[in-house]
Amino acid sequence: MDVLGGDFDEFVRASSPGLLRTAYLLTGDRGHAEDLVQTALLQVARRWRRIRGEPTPYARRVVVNLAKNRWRERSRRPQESTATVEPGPAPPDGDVLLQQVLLPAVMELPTRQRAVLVLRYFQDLSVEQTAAALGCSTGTVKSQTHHGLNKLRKALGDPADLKENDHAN
Amino acid sequence: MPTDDELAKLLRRGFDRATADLEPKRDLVHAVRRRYVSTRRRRLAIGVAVPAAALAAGTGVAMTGQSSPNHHPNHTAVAGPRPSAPTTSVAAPMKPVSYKVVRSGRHSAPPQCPANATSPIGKSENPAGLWYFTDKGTCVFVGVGWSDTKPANAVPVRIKGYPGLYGTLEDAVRRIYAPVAPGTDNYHPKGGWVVLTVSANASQEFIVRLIIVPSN
Repeated sequence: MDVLGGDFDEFVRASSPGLLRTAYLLTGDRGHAEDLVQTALLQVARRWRRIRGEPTPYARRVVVNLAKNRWRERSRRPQESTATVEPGPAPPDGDVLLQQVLLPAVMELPTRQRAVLVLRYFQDLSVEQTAAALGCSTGTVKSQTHHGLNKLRKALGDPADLKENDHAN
Repeated sequence: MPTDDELAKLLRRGFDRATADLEPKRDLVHAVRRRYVSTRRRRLAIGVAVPAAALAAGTGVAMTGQSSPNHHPNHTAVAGPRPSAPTTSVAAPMKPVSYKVVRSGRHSAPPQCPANATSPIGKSENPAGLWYFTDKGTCVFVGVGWSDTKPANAVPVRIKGYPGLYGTLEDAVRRIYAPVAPGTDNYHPKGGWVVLTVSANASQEFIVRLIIVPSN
């Protein structure tokens, strides 16, 4: 008997691109992101009967938790390099700032700040949804957002370059 | 310095572009399903089994029912044989475990218990082969029987650490079906189900944890 049903397949097809991209932004590694999403979907499958009404928040939270676990494992192995977004194809001129300054700066953020920014500005989650996904308070989300943006602001440096590039796109 | 809104806008664009070429593998659905089936089989394989052979030999919980011999078990706690799989409507086992009957160090029964019941596990002489359990001064009557199959209307009983259990609730009587793997019980070589019968208001988790405990 198929206890998962066709709606599970539909959910996987619909949600996996977003989950994969979120996992990639959280881990900075394509291979790890794929593994992480598959593991997260497996956990979703195990609880499918209970969460099938609204599986996305649960899946998102599992992805974040698995990424957190990976961060913890990495922190115990300090000799490993930190996560970086893999270089893609050569960016158009206007994207140089994004690809060479902003995204590496995001990857240098503390894990929780990075997660908050990814969930809020990539997944477009509200403060409350972000707090639920991270298992923390809304106050923590707000403060981590504030600190994260401040660090990015410093990393970006000259605002003229930023606005020029921003308008160029 | 850029405002928060400007930074947020830039972040959104950066995130979108960094992930634009990321697509899940085409066989992701099948890969997840394969892993799910595999892990589900493994979990089901850790089936609960009562040391039926030892019980039937009179060293553990008494077995009553259609295929159990009439005998008089004593109160010795035992470790059971290693079962491997339930026999009806459950996937074949891959990793057998064994269980043992537990018994507390207390030996005096509450006043309302039958005189021949010890605490927390006791034997009832009449009807023979049934056991009494006491919990915080109360007696709970538990029948331990056997069935070759479980009823079609039995539903899974979810108790942490005790996979593979099923239960029914009819006429204020609750029956809990615990699988016994084929080849693990001399009296029931084809395997089957140990049936715990309790009143509806008894805690099934308490009963299960009291009677059958994984020994590995």
